[in-house]
Amino acid sequence: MKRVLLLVLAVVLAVGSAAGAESPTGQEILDDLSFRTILSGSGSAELTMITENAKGAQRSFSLKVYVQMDEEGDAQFLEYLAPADVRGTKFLSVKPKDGESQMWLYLPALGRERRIAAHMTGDSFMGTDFTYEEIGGDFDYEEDYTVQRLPDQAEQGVDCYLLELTAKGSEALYSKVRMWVWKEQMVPVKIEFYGSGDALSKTLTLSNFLPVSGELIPHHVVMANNAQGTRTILELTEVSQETVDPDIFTVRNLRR
Amino acid sequence: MKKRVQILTVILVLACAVPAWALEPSGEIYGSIGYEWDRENKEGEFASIRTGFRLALEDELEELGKLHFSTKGWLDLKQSDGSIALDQLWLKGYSGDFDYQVGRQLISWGTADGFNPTNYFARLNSSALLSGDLQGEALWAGRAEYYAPSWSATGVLIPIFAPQKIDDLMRKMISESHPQGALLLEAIEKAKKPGLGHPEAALRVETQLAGFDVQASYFWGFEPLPGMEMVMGPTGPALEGTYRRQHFFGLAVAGTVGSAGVWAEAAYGGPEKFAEPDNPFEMRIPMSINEKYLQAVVGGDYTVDLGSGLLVQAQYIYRGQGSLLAPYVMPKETLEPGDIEAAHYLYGRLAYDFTQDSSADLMVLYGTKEKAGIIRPSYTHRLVNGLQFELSLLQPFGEEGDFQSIPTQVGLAVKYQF
Repeated sequence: MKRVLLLVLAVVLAVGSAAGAESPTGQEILDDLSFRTILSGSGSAELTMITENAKGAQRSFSLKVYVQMDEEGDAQFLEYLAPADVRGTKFLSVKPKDGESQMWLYLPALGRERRIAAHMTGDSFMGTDFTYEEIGGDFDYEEDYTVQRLPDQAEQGVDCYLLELTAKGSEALYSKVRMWVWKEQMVPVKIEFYGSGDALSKTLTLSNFLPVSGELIPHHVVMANNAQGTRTILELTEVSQETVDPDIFTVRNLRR
Repeated sequence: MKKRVQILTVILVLACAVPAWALEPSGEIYGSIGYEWDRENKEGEFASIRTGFRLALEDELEELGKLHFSTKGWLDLKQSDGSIALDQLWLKGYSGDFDYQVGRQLISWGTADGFNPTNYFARLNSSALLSGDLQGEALWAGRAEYYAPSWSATGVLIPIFAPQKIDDLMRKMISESHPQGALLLEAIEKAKKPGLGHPEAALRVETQLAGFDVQASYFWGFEPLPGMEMVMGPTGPALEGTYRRQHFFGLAVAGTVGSAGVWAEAAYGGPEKFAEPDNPFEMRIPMSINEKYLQAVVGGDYTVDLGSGLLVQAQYIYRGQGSLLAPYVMPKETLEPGDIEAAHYLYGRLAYDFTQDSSADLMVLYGTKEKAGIIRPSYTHRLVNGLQFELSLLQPFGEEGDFQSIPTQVGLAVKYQF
């Protein structure tokens, strides 16, 4: 599976099998990356999210995140635990395998959920450097990009394969994506997203990989918006690979 | 004396509740200054200097449910008035396919923002509507929800009817936009409220069709404000208010079309007709709508890829009862008493985040019948640790209609949330 789930879920990026070939092609590397939600398809995490403006001023949020990815589709549920002005805000995204994404935002002040357009590209999610599209995980590399392997590079002190993914058409969110893949563990440690004119738009950095139930999970994730000079930092404080109750991913749960 | 007892009761409950639940309370403390400009007399004054709070305690009862208590209060130094009251107090429970909630609670229905024809319970007062505060009033109710795999149903029972609260702005609009404004307010006060034995109820069924959330609902209740009649009797004309039973059938839809969010709501129904006078020497002229009518909203929003994203929202609002803000509309001479010309409104909103800490909002409401409306720009700046301030302006425009009784208002509010 070659879908990369960003944002909160990037948190949850997981490992695949080690590369088998001596000098694999870009496509083989991508094929060998078994990106899954942290929790092998299902799990939950508590994390601290810090948004930083161009002047370096930071704002911190506390979140609880649930993820489920299986043969029936993908689903994400997140709830803001702090600070007070967003406490109780919940977000639900459901994407059936062959269907359109559906997203709801529950605002406690409103007392009910609200439908959100599933492809609000360019609209940041709750003031972060992630878009609604990225939050919902609706970002398909396989469909939208062709891959090419570039000369290897070291990144974050480890040897990496460097892949360049080029958009097949105008449907793709980014014109180009560059991905540094840690050879030894076959996990991405850095991803660059390029916008129109191949200008660097965002940079995702994954670090502090710690084993959780036998899989390496990045506990420190940074999404930098290179154009605006802002950053969103995710720090995992708790990760669980226990299967999530499917009832979590329902409008009923949003209202609870 | 009564108010003092209420305040003491709330404080007592609070004092007991905090240690008993051993929970960290949440809420807000705020202060605001409101300056009003009388356009006719070209005079301005500080209309309110207000401070207030809201305090909430909530406890998760494991998988069984949730317990919530909140109280709110305010004190206006300019008006020498204040209030402290129970906000919400409810118990929520989960049992198999059923969720239930009993107590004083907020029941918010519908799919549109602010102007919801199918939001029968969470009534918004005029000030809330115009300030963009979308949280309605809580009320005592029992609610049960049933969730099947592809649909759900919600039943609500209100044992004791609670009428619409008349805030300062609505009071001003009623008194200034009608020749009998003062008498109307007096008649509203005097109208006999339906008590025990006169409940309200509603049922809503929800499902998904072609990717759209669809809600069908039925409401059986009372008019939020009493229907008004002018009674011409032997002792001269007088106004008389009656809370009439009303029924509404509603339909609400929300979904997405491409990159845009869209929604629509409609409710058809209305109050029972005024009773025929028993006294043959008495004539009654309805001053409220006296027939079934339609109210509807169609809207959508789209985020323009501009900077951090410019949210553009637009709504068309149809009000068969003749007005969005004024509860009583004088019938036109060409129409029969009780027959009221429908009103049409256009609502627009732009919202933009300059940074994660500062944002601007612009709201415009325009009535095509009045050829008038209001515009409300606001700027919000968030400081660290839950502290934020908002600067806003409310400016009516146009020549006629209910909007003209709204004064130009400048407000500065500081809020701390914890």
